[in-house]
Amino acid sequence: MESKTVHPRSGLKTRMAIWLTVAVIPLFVVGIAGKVNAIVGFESESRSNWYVDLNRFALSAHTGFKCEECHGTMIENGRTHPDKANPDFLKKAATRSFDYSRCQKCHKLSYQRYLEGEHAKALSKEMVEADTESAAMAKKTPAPTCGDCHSSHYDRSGQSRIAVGQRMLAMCGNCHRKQTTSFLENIHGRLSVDLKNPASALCTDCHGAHTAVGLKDPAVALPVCRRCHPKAEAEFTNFVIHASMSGLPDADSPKRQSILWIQRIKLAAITVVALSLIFFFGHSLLWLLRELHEKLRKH
Amino acid sequence: MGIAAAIVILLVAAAGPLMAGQDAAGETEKPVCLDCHRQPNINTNEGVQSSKAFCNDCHARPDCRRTVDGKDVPLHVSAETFNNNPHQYVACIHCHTDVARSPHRTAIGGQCRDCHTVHGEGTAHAPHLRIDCQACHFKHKVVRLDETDNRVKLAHMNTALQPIGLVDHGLDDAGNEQSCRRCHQPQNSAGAPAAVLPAKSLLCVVCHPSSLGVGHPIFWVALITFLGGIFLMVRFWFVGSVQGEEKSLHRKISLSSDAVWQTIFSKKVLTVLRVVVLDIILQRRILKNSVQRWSLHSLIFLAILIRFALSLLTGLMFSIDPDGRLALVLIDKNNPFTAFTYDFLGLCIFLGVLWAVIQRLVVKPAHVKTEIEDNITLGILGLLVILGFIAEAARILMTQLPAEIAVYAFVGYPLSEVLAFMPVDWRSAYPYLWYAHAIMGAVFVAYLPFGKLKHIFNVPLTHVLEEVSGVKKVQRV
Amino acid sequence: MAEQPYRQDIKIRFSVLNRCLHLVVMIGFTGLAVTGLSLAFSSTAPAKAFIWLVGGSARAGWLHRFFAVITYSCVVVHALWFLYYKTVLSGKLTGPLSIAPSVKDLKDFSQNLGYFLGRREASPRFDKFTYMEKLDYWALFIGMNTMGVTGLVLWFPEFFTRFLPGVFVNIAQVLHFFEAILAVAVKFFIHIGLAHFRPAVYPGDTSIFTGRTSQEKIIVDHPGEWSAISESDGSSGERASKMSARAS
Repeated sequence: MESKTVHPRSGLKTRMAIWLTVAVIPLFVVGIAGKVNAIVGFESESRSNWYVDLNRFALSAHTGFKCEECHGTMIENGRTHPDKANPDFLKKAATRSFDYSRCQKCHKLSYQRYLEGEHAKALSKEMVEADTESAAMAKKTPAPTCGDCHSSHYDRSGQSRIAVGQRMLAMCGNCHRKQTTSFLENIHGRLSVDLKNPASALCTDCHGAHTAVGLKDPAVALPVCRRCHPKAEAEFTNFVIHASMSGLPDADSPKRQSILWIQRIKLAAITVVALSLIFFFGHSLLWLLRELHEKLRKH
Repeated sequence: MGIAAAIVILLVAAAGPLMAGQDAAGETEKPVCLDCHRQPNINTNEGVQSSKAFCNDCHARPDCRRTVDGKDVPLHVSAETFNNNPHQYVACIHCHTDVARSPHRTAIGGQCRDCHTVHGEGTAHAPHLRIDCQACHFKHKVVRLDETDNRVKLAHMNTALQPIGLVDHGLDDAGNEQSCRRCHQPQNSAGAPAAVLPAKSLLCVVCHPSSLGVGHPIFWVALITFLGGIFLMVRFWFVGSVQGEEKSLHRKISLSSDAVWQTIFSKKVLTVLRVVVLDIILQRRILKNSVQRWSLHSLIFLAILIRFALSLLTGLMFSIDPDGRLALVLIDKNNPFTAFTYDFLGLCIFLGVLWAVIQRLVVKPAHVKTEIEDNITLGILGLLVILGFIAEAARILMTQLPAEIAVYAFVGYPLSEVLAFMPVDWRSAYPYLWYAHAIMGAVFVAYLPFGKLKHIFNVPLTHVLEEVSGVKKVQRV
Repeated sequence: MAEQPYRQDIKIRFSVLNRCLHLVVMIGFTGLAVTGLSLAFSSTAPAKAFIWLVGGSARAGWLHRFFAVITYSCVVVHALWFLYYKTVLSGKLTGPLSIAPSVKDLKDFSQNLGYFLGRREASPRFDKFTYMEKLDYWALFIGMNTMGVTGLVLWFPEFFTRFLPGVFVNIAQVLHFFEAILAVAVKFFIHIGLAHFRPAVYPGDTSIFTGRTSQEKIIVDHPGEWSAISESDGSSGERASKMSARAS
């Protein structure tokens, strides 16, 4: 054939830049997609709003109730409202000062179940530990009362399972942010929230309605898993759904080890995939360029 | 003025507690309407719990009962029956949709179909469409036939014939043959055959919607025989030379499969399609020969082909959309369309076979040579169809199908009226009829590659080969 | 069938079995990719649109497993064919006509890189399968088995957690996902690009579909193969094409 062709040196840098970019594109796609999961709408409603939107109230479950039926005690027995003499005046969240035992009037069972659960335990612990109410408020995620999760003015009744699930995710996610993110990255979250499969599990399906049960103990978790996976055995409960280290009891907990292993394997997998893609795309690009060059030279 | 103000203040002060309504703690002994009458949202876990608690206010008490005909019927629903039961997470009113009312009784029973699909041919087969889910899946053992809607349901009595409430919500293992014997025993009241019969085998798909399994050992024997016959037939085809190759079978297979590939992925595929439609399905060459022969042949052939297509369609529709109207119509033998169509097609086959028998044995035209294989073939087919109709008539009689439903099976129903005169207990006779028809069907399928029916493979292939290779019409077989 | 005149210059490179396997794997792989990616990236709009199209996530999941079964059955059929090749046809595992990797492939790779970078005038003398084609084949082999095993663990987690730790299901999910990304990126971009958009074969290399290639192409692209088959009997002809047909 013809004499050996000489390629200018500067071409090499351009070539390297090109195939590095090309190889990295798939990684971007993966990364962006992962981020999208995390941004998915958490609409946290502003709490303690003095104004009640009566249009929304008219559509809510409590429409038709008179204000006094729930709020009557604010002005009886010699109280005044607003009470400027109260030391906590304008300092306390409404969800801390309202007496939610009043909800028992109609929601007896739910209230009882709340009292049995982890949220009530956390609340009483907080009340014991905190020096003042305001110190408790200063905590980033204070233990929830009824009003912290349910809007008695605006929540609607008779919602579908998927609608309830999405609301639950936004609400529980206000405090349990890492769990919600990790839930959405897990098959259960993807199926129920993204793909709206009503058979997939949402928060209360596993953690109990109002009882807010922690599932760290495999003996507690197994009957919960068996609700949908009847043939599961004990080891099945060690499948990690909330792959986040926050809230784990100690440094050696088996779950922490599991999560570490998952992270290591993920890292190894990304490395292998990245290297392979760099090789394949790089090699192909070089090949393509060379053949184009040969073809052009023929004319 | 001051007195007026004092009176106003007094009035307001007096009205205050009234306006407030209750004491500060919110606890009250007075019943609150919404405590019970609030519609629980049974889409939520909490709503399910609340709803069940409401029902359990009465039904969890051991003394919950009602009096029927002077007898005490206990209605206590024990929580234990929900252990290890998927319905544990379901509210009572999810299934008992019409019971939260006065008078407190249900008109329609538990609604399983709101969440669950019917079984197809394989699991419990179509005859069980007339059975309520609970009759097989619940632990209660006594069943009854409800004359008003011809459905089999649980009877409200125990084995000692005492009235009971159907309160055991535990699920039975319906796959266990023991539970089948609730109905499938000699003196049953459900109109069921006296023996447990298997589902239709995959081999039956030639004429019937069937399951995907081969099933009973006799069908396995038939399948293996059939496959063996196909193997021998194909091996025979490769005895000769293929495109000049005489010796190597591997090479012959290579060459012929390559030729097939080349035909499919070329314009020639249109020729193949044309031959399939005109010569294979519509049998244009027979029609060219004689209208009588075409009619006779089509009566048998087209009817079986259409039945085969219907069977495939039923299977497909049932797997895609088991709750859809089309699927439910096709799997229900008693549906007017299905009953009529299958009876009509069966009658076509019977008339075709009858005509063929008359031609061969009575009319005996000179050019027709009747060999033993012809008689065997016609015999198998004829017996198959006759047994099929008799079995159908027995089924209609045995299940006490009301005349207004059965009448669409315009062959089976009159036949059942004839059978009604015979002093036979059809519940005991039906299993024999079923097995006779099934064995005949197995023999039919097994015999396909051996006797004259081999032509269903050879002839279409010959037509396609000749058209594609452009063999002159004069040289055609 | 009309007897096609025997043309000496058209050789069969892929048997009908291989053509069928390729077709089925092609369709199955595409189905797997589309349904699987819709689940993996379920928060994105195209994924949600596709799930809606097939009628819900349960349907998509069923389709994914259906395609998995038919794709993996091709692996099984191919394995059975391999047994037939070894026992009945007494085929050779190594040599210029084999798809097994060899030391020559490493040499070819470095020589080819030299060609890409302008230090050599021409590609090295490839045998029947270039190192790239072998890499494609073996990567797919490893990939499909990885996906199959991890996929099975994800399909039957209750069964597998009887003897494996629960975290293995998570690990299976990670591996399944990343192997899928790699496989889809390589197959949809590299494989299709090299088969269609390389100047040498543009607009497309159809030999995997027709099974045929020309003698000229063998001589140019796979000179090592050509020497091997013409050496065996000193002349090109029917025997030569039979030999390459046997090994395909």
